[in-house]
Amino acid sequence: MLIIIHSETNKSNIQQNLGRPEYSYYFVLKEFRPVLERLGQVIEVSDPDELVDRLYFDCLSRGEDCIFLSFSPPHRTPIHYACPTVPVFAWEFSTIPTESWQGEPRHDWRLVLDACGMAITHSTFTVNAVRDVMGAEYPICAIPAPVWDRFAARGQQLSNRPVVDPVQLNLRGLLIDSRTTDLRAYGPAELREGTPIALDGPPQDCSLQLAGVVYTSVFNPYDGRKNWQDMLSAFCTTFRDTPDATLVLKLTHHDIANALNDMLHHLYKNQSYQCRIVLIHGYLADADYERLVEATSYVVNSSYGEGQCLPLMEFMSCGKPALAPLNTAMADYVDSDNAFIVASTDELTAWPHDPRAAYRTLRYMTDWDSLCSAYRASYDVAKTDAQRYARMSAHAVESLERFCSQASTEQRLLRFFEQRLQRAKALSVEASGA
Amino acid sequence: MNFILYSDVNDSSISQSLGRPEYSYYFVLKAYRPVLESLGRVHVVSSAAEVDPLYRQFQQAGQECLFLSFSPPNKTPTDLQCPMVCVVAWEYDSIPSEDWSDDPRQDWSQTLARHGRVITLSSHTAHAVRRALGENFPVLVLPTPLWERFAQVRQQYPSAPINPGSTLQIKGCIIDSRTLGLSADGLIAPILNEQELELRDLIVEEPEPEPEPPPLPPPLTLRRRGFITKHYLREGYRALTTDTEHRPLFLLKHNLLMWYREAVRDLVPQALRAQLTRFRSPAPEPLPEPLPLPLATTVSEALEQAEHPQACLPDTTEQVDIEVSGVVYVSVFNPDDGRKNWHHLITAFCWALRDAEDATLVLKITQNDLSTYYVHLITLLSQLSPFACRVVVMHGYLQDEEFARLYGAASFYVNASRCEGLCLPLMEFMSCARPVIAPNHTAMGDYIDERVGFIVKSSHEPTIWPEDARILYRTLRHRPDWGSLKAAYADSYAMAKHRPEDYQAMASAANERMRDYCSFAPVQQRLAQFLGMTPGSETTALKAEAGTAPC
Repeated sequence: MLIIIHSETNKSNIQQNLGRPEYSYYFVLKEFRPVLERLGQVIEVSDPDELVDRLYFDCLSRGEDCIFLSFSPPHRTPIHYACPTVPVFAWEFSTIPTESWQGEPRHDWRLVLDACGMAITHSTFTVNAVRDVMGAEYPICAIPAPVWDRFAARGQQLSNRPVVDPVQLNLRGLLIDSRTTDLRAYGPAELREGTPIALDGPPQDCSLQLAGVVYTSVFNPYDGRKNWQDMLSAFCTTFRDTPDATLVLKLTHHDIANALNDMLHHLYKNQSYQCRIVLIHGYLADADYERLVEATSYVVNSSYGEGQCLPLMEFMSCGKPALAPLNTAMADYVDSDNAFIVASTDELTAWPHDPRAAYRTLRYMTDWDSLCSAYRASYDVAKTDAQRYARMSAHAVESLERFCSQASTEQRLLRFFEQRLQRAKALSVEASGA
Repeated sequence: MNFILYSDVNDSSISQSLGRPEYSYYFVLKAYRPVLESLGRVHVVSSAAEVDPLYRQFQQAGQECLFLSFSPPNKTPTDLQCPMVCVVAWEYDSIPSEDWSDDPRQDWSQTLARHGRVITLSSHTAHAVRRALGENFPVLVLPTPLWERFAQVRQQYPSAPINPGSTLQIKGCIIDSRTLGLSADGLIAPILNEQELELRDLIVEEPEPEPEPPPLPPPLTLRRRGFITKHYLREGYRALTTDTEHRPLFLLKHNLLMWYREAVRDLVPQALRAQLTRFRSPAPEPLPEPLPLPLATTVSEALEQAEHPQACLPDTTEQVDIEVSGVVYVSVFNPDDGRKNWHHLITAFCWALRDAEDATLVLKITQNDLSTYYVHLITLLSQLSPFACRVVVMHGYLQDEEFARLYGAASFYVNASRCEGLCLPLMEFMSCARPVIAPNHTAMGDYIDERVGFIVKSSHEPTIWPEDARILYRTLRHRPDWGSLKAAYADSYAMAKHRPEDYQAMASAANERMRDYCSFAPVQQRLAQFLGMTPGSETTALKAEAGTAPC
């Protein structure tokens, strides 16, 4: 079988696209690729209009099966190819788009899902959202990006102590440490004093020492769903008098200055606190990324919803218990034995790419008190209950293995492709019988 | 005993202060006054400078005297000889207790400690004061007595889960979601071949060259409305795609407003129809201000016209009325007041009851300037459309009798605030035996529970003390749970439709709660006790009927 894969962001433009809405599709494609290679021959194309159907007809003439996996949301998935096309997409809202705008009929996802006849997404939550409108029988499968094997292997090498002994890591980029930053420069304009940090300078070699109970989160600060404001304010409120609590925010975006200024302003607003906040923007070599994972007691997520959340999956696969909500995709792998659950509630919102901003769907608003409680409880466990921490850590590894190991992904993909073949056969029998 | 009363806001300045944070002090003063009158002689002064001369006068006459300051402690004079006590309305979990500027009055704890006691409107505020000043600090929690005032409304408008139909009147304007022609698609331009579109429009719409000036605007036919709509869609699209110094949202809002004005406004309230009919029929004489159509063809032209946004707003000088019926939810608030969380109030209603044609949300706005929220409101309603339920916004001033009708029209009162120092409208509607949807946090914790209404859950979130120029997080407010608000709408609607006896039980409980909480006698008794007096011993006996003016 030939499996053609494509995402709009690819190796050549990932740097410029880092942090843009569609960029994470490339990472998902990269994670799927090795598993797809076990099931067929894989070709990644950068110009599907040019290549997909040529490759398809080629296969057809040889009698070989061929499928096109478009790692894209349905409204950016081509539906005019002869080649069977399957969108592989992430989604974290309670309803899928069922209206179109700006003259693009594909904004109504029903049209695309109907035309493709099948789809792959990453969570049970989204499978249900799709079946709500496409019918309970619609062939869609929840297959997350298989990140477990790589990170679980790393995790085994690492010490998994809840309270981190001093670890030194090096990075090239920008490092902001609340302990050494003059936050007076980030107050209201009329009260500003001191000099703000130069954010536009060239990347520098920095070194960072972490110790104590360390919370880490990796995200794109411009992604409005991430709700870093609550993550920060609940941390500062809970650990106002706790000097050995540290929150490390590793930020991914190509242009970080505005976000950093905003975050520094929030660091100012939350004053004063004895806990420590570290903002990292820059590239970490694999060894240093591993050291960051090793120096992490807990991974934190306070989003309004997740299509799957690769960083959370990665840290949990390494055996890091989480602080995370039990909504959207996270409900598939987060539970109270591997995480401190952050409560959330429905809130009406718009589909993120709807320029009308019409209220049509729900996101999941964080319960701030519950985030504070999760910080407090997790800190107490780290300090006083190493056994429970170890159980949570082991359970995180097991849960993520079930959710996103290469083996489970392979099984799900295999079943999905078989299902497709059966459907295709049934259709051709029907056609020939008629 | 002599009581000297002072508030920053008074009878002559209240109309300008409507909706400002301190305006509620004026209503509190008015509501307390009859109670104070029952315990002594009341003297309302118009300036704090009058307090001490009056005090000395009473001293010479051998009479007792107490100054009650109805202002936040930071605005209370500190150099008076007259014994005084502050009346504090406050909705945060801590009082300002740091000296952050050169003005030591910003530290409330010092001022209140000097007075040695304080009167607050809620247990929540009392708790915040005691956190700063100690558990034994003398605090009187004194809600405003207002229950008796609504005896007549209770009698005239018995509670009913389903309103059979009532007419609301107001001097101002009424915005009705049913007549706005709302559409989410109207918020953007479709991506079409713009040139082609323009051509087609010109071919269809360009009138034959006509010799006679002045050219009248064409009648508002459906096609014409379509043309105007397309025009503003294009403008809106340009606003999003063209680089200008103005924010795209500003331009979008502007275009939405212009579109509304030109394409659909005549479908809106009666008050406007008179103005617009002259465009429909041939005018007998030249119009003083003909509306050129299309108005703006470039963003810069549009911007010039945006300099006078007020000119596009509906007329607010007429007496207007509207008929409402079914399950009617009412809320009274100022959209500028960030505590009110009015977006949730509307979005949860429209989502929970989007298929319920007989559900109506009536919003009485206490804000004089329509332009501060109008475009915002219309945008929000467009984003929510389509919905079968109905949103009615009443802008303007209600006479007592008109307000009574509003109380009477309500099946439920709704509050979804982040925090409240007291919330007079909520208490008033409850005093009219209306069950509610409301959180049980801050001041509402004193009188809201599941017997009187549907509780909106909430969590906390950090916030600043409103006066704190440093804008540091120093206190907490509440984050209402939208899901719970939505559920409260759905549950209350189901109760109104299917369980009238439960509704009536809740309505009676609301009324009884208010009788116990804010009727005259218990309030009088608590105040007398706090001041070490015996009610009735000094002056007038209990008065059954308290104040007269609703807010």
